[in-house]
Amino acid sequence: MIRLPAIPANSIRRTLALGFALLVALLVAAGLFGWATISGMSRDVSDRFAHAYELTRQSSTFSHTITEEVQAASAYLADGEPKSEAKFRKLGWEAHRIHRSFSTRRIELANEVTHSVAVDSKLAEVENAYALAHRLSDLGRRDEAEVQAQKAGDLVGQLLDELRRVDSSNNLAFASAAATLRENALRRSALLVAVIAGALLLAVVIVVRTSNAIGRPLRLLLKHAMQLSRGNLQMRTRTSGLPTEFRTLGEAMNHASDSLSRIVTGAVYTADDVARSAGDLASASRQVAESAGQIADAVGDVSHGAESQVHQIRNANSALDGIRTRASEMVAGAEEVHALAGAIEAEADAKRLEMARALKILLEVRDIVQQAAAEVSGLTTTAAEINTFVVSVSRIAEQTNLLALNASIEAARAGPAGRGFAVVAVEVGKLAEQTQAAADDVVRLTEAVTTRVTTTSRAMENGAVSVLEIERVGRELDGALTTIVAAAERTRQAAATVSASAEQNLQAVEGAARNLDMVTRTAEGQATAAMQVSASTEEQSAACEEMTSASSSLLLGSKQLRGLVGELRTAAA
Amino acid sequence: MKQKSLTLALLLFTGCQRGADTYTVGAAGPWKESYGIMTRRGIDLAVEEINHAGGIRGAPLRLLARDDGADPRRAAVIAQDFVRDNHVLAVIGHVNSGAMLAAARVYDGELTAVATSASSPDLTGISPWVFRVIPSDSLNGAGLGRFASQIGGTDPSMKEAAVLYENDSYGRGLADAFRRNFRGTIISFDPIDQNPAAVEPFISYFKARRPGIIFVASREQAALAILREAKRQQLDAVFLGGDGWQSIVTDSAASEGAYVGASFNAGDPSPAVKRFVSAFTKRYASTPDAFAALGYDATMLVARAISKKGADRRGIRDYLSSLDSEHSFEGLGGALYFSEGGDPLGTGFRVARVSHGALLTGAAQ
Repeated sequence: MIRLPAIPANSIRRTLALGFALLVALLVAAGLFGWATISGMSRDVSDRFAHAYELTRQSSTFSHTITEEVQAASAYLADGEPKSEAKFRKLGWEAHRIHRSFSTRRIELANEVTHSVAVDSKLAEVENAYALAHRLSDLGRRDEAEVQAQKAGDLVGQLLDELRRVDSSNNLAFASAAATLRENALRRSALLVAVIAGALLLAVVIVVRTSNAIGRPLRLLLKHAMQLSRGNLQMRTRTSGLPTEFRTLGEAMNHASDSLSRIVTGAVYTADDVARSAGDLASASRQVAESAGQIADAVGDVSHGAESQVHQIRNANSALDGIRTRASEMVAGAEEVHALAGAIEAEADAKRLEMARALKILLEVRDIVQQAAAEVSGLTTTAAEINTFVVSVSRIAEQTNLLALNASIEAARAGPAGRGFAVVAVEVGKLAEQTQAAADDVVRLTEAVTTRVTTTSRAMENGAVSVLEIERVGRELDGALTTIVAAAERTRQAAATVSASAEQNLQAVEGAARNLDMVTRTAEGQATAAMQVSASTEEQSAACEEMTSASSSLLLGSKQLRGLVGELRTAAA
Repeated sequence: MKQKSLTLALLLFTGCQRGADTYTVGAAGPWKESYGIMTRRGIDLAVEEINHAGGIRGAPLRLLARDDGADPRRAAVIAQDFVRDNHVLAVIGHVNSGAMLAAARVYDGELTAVATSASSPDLTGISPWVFRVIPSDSLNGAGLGRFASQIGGTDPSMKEAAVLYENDSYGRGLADAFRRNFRGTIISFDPIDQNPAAVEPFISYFKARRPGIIFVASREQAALAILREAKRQQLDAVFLGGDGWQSIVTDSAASEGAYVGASFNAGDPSPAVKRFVSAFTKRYASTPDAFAALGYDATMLVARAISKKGADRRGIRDYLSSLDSEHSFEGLGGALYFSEGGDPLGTGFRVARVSHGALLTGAAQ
């Protein structure tokens, strides 16, 4: 595939190419149209003429044949030659054949057939009339033959009329065909003229447009070039709307103007800047020289400061050493706390176990006391039963005493017989009194026992209460111990954490010590450097003096440059 | 899917065609002439039989008959009317060669015409739209020429023939075919009018020249004029005529002994002919001739084409030209199909002799 170079829009080349392509296309179209028109018309004309020619030829052959046929028929009537009759018949056959051949073409309208058929049937009539005349002539009936021949002659006249009618019908058809052809030709030539006129108009438009498209931008660019040559760098050409080629040229000139303008402006500014800078440089150099002295002093101070800094840093280092020692001790202490917490925990555990055991014993004691209390209560009941028994004994003693009294009375009444008895009675009385006294003793003793038992019982109850109290205390103690164990555990963990932190602290302190060492070394380096700077500053001071003199000459040069550039007219002027 | 839509399209198509309420065919001929009347009777009988049997595809067949009076000019005008009438699907006729020749050029490309007795050789190949059920005269004339050559044996007078012909397409065609095939001398070859005013000079001439055979290529009118004049002058000659002579039997005295080349013979023993003759006789109280048989055949043939192709002018033409020896139409004259030129194949002429007002079949051609 051929790759055409890209043609930008709105270029003269493109405009021209398009215009000419259009022109050529229009002309080709006009040519083709003209050719088609002419060839179509010529085909049409040649068809129609061929048809007309064929029709005319056949018509004339037909007429000619008929004429000869009629002549032969007449001749036979005159000479009676069989040759003449054969000719008549042959020509008649031929005439019908010709007629048939031009009447077998395709036709549209019945009236064409009508004319053609009329000719044929008229010819048949002529032939029939002559045939009859011939036979009459053969039979020697001359007069009748004459009459028939006359009739045939009339029919020939009619036949010729029919032929003329066909011809005139053909002529009419030709005339109308010719008129149609003329109309077609006129219409087509008018169209052709219109197309060619269109092409010419287009050509004029293209020429005018092209000359405009070239002339106007050329004038603009020429003006620009003149202005440039006069040193006017502010002149610009408007490129929008220009053809591509001129736009490119205009843009190039605008660019050139721009670039020149920029260069000149830049040169002016630069000269100003250089002059200004040279002045500044001179004063700066002086200041620098002054500053250099100050710097030298300052650097001396710095050097001194650096030394004291080194000293301070060393102090800090020893302080850090102290911190490090204390941090180590803290680590040791934390570890000790850790161990201690472990011991406490173990001890508390052991005590808790013992406490549990004591609690258990206490519980047993409480049970025993409660049993004893129950026994004592049983004793109280027994004392009550003793009292009841003593009351019974006492009542028996009273009755016995009463009985003894009654027996003494009775013995008294029975006189000397009853003397012995009186003695027994007295004895019984005495026994009764002794029994009563014993019963009273028992009551007294029982009461004493009961009192004691009651006291014991109360003591026992108090004991039981105390045991309960002890148990409660024991349990609380157990809880406290558990808490202690947990606290000890936490303490141990805390101690471990403290220990780790202390370790880290220690490392940090050691790191700080190392850094401080480096700082010390750096400070020492700085002190040395400060001394070197002090030396350099003095050298710089000398260089500044040289610079001052150089900037003065620069200032002079830049002023001269400014003067030169100022002669060009620019935006900066 | 495609099959389905095709079937549907076919259904719609046939449905539309079935929608026709009548099928119309044109017919043109000289209905006032005797052969025209016979042709028309054959056509009418066929139409009646078709409609009696339920029509074509259930729709009746309508006949639009126009009288062309055997005039080619009228025939051309009628042909143009038929072509312009969209209802006319085909034309039965024309009856005459001259009329058919003129009309053929109007029918060409538009409408199928099936000529009945138009037998001019000039009609052969005149248009792919024109067919005829009668063979060309060249066939009939040739047959009659050969027959005439043999009829007299060795009798020298029978080796001379005189020819009279109607000076139109029919007469010229038939006479020319006879002349080409007669093995003897033609002593005269004269044209005559369709309705000749004077035949006496010709008969007088023949009486003087004494030809053994007189061939007349004419229709009934001229034939009877000549035969009667010959009888009057007591001319002793054998008369021969073509199919145009079939109705001369009406004058049994004048026509006695004449030979006629005919495409149809009412005495044919075939069942189709017997049935036709019986139906015709019953309907018109007369014996059918070749004109009636040709009209009947042409009508039945056109009806068959419509039943196959529906209301489609071109389809009807295509159907007729598609017939061949294996797919033929069974006409009264035998299996019918067409040559490239539209002439019937499979049928032929027979020469019959007029005997006491009837045609007796002679030798087959």
